[in-house]
Amino acid sequence: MTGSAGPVRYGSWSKDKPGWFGGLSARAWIGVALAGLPMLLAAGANRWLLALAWAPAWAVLAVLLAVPVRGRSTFRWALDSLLRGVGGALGWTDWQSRAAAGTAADLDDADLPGVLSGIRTHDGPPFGPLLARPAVIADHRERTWAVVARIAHPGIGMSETTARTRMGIGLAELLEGAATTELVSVVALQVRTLPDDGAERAAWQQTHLRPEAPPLARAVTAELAAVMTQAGVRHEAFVTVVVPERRIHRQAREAGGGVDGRARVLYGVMSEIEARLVGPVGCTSVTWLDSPGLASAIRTGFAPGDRAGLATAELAVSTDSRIAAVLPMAAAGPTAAPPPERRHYVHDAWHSATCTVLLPDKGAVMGALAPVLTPTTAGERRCATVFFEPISSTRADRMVGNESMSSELATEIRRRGGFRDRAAHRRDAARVEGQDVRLAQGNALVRVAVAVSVTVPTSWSITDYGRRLEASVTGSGFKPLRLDLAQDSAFAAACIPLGIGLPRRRGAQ
Amino acid sequence: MSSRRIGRQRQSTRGRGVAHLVSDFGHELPPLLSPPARPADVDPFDTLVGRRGRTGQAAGWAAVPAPLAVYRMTSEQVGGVWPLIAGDGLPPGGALLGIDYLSGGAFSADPIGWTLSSVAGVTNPNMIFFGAPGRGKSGTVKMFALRQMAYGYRTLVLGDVKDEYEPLCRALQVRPHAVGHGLPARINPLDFGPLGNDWTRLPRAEARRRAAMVFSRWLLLIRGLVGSQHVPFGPTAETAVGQVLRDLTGYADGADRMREVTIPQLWQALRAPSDELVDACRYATRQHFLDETRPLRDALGALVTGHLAGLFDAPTTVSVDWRAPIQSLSLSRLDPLGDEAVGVALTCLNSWGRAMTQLAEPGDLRIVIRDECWKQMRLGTDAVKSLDADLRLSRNDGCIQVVIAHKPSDMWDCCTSR
Repeated sequence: MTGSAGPVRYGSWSKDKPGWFGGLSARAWIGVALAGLPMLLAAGANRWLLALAWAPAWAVLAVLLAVPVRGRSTFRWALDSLLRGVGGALGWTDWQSRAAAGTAADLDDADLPGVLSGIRTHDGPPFGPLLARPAVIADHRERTWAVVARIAHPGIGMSETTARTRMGIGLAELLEGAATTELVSVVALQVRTLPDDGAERAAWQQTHLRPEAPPLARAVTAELAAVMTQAGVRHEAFVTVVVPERRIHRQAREAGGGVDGRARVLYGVMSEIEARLVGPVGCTSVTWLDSPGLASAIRTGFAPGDRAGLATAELAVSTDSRIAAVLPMAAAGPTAAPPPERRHYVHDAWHSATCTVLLPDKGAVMGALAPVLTPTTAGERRCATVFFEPISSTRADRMVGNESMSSELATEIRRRGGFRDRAAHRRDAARVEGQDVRLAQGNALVRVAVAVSVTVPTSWSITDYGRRLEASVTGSGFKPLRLDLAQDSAFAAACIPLGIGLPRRRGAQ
Repeated sequence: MSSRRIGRQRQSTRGRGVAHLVSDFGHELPPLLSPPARPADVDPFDTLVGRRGRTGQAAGWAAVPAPLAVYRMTSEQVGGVWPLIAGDGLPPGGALLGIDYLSGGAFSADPIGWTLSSVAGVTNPNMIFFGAPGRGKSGTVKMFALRQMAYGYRTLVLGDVKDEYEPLCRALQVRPHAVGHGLPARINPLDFGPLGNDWTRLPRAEARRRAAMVFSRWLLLIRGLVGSQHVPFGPTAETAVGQVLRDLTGYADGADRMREVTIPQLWQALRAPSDELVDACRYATRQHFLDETRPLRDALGALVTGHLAGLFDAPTTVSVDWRAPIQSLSLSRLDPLGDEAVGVALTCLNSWGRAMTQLAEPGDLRIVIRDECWKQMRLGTDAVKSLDADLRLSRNDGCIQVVIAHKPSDMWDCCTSR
């Protein structure tokens, strides 16, 4: 991170759950050892035939436990398949909204499938100079609170290296601030690239087009609008801040208790995050979403095509107050979704394929994710969500300390066992050492996960577009990992800006 | 010791309260309100939902929570997963021009809208197009002008050097005006323009304001024209020219109607100065005046008697229909005379065009195109200053000034070489 002329290459990251020794966790080692116990006992009892017979079984069990297949062990795959099968057999995994069933009683009640089903939204007390009432989201599943903002950022396409570096430092400072206050558990940045529906332009033209203008100019404008609206894309970005109940419980009680008390504590966090977003991160606007705004963001996450109608109604309501532009929370989700397929998820008239992104060991420059967010054809929607979990300095210190000790232990065992110390081992040890040094310098430790998704109409081949998404991820220097068997929850992580999806850290508060 | 005894002892040590003392004198203190009962902070998470969501028929139960690949890094490394790559682009107003390469969205240009709404820090609606020859600068400008016409804009092409705008004019059923030798069109760069309208009925203050604008524009033009002949135009020359212009128009005499002036008249007045002029310019003698202003007269004379003679030295004969969607002044006939002649012609046309657009009516949106502007810039720093003055006024005029040149160093080259 020096001020060199070229772009900064970031890459000093490691897996969240590094292997204790030889790339395997302590649990895997214990499992392997237990699986081998019968063989040892048989050998101890001089029953050599039995020991010899058990050896292949032990080898198979060790492979099943230790060798990861597409990110998961075979046991984990088997368990996931079993759960999916059970859910499907019982009829739990398909979805029908209450609105579609005609049983929606309260329209303010969010009705969302799967991991989003614990969501309840509340209107917070007035906030900011405009006295807006941001939606405060309670997740009953994880006992967390969240707020969502729509942000506008000029992007980094025209930025010099120094400006990019400055923005990167701005994001780092935001996360360091969050780690210091020890309130925020997750900051999620979501970017959507969606087909341009031309709703805003149509509204602008309605008021600015001159009927007396030359017919040639009008004809050219109309033809171009038709062509470009099909070809163009729009970008939307959201930031979600998640705060666990356990961390704000006491402060909320002092602030009056109840949802309002929680909201008041959240407002303090929001102001701090907003200041950093608008300042060093370089956002041009930060708008905290109220209930209709949030409902619209969720709805367009499930059905990108609905954006045109929602945007048009929102623009039209400024001139005609009779128009119902507000989308109720009860209608934010999909109306129906069949049980998720193994490799994609169908929701209303759309289907999506979702991958997680594996970060390369060689590192990446800022903006390397650009191909992932670029649709390959008009009409395709791409989404990417980056989850950041800032970890408090005390815990970070302990985690890095443990990792450092494991690294040293592994090096020592390798040395004593006469194994060769390879370059990858030295690199991993240097990373741990580097993290320790930077932590001491005042940086924060952050858990990071990236989920990317492609959404197309159900009449298009999702197999093809899923492959294109994976090609884009590969082309950007990262590695895709399709989240098989978990496409519904993965879709929620990648496309719905509620900050849900980051796997929990063991022992997290 | 029993608790009752302890209570009695505490009561006795506490003594009598104020209420008790006051009651001895027959008064009663108003009762204190009991503090409001603090509501118990009930747990807002009263509903239990499992980690995989709700179970039940068609409840959308998530069998497998998303096993995202999680990484651990220190905060200064998060730039590697920076997602805010493409911007939102500009607001969807104005002429559609194409696809924004960076954002992938439709790109439309609305300079006046951007200025009014302070989008992206735009404070002036001017546009400058730079590009190598043949890269589509003029084509882009023509697209912009045509598409802005749908929103009420009118276009004035000040000097179509290669007749590039003629097909567009024809498509809009407008015939361009051609300026050249042997053609009837004449342009007087010292035209009053709309500023001279209804001069006799103007209040004194307004007349003074307009006169200042007119004389300022003329001086700027003459500075540019004289500078193009490599003659310095200092404050002494400016005083002389200003005095002559005030005399010729009748402004110095307090005339209620301003006379139209041409460059030959100015040249003639400097050649045969009156005693009043010599005196007003604080020269000792008439000969002293003639000696000092010789370079100035020669420079102006080149315009009057040189290869541009007969083009910019007579009252304007071109009648511009300001309600037409486009008006173009073709200079292609001057091409054989060389770049410098075309540059001088462009300078004259720019000044004339500025006069014509200086008093725009509210809502009268206009695009003024100055193509091949590098030819004008080559004339020297004074020509660049003249152009710069035109560009600075567009914010107030509701006018988009479009300048087309090859490279930014066109301006720099002329500034350093002269």
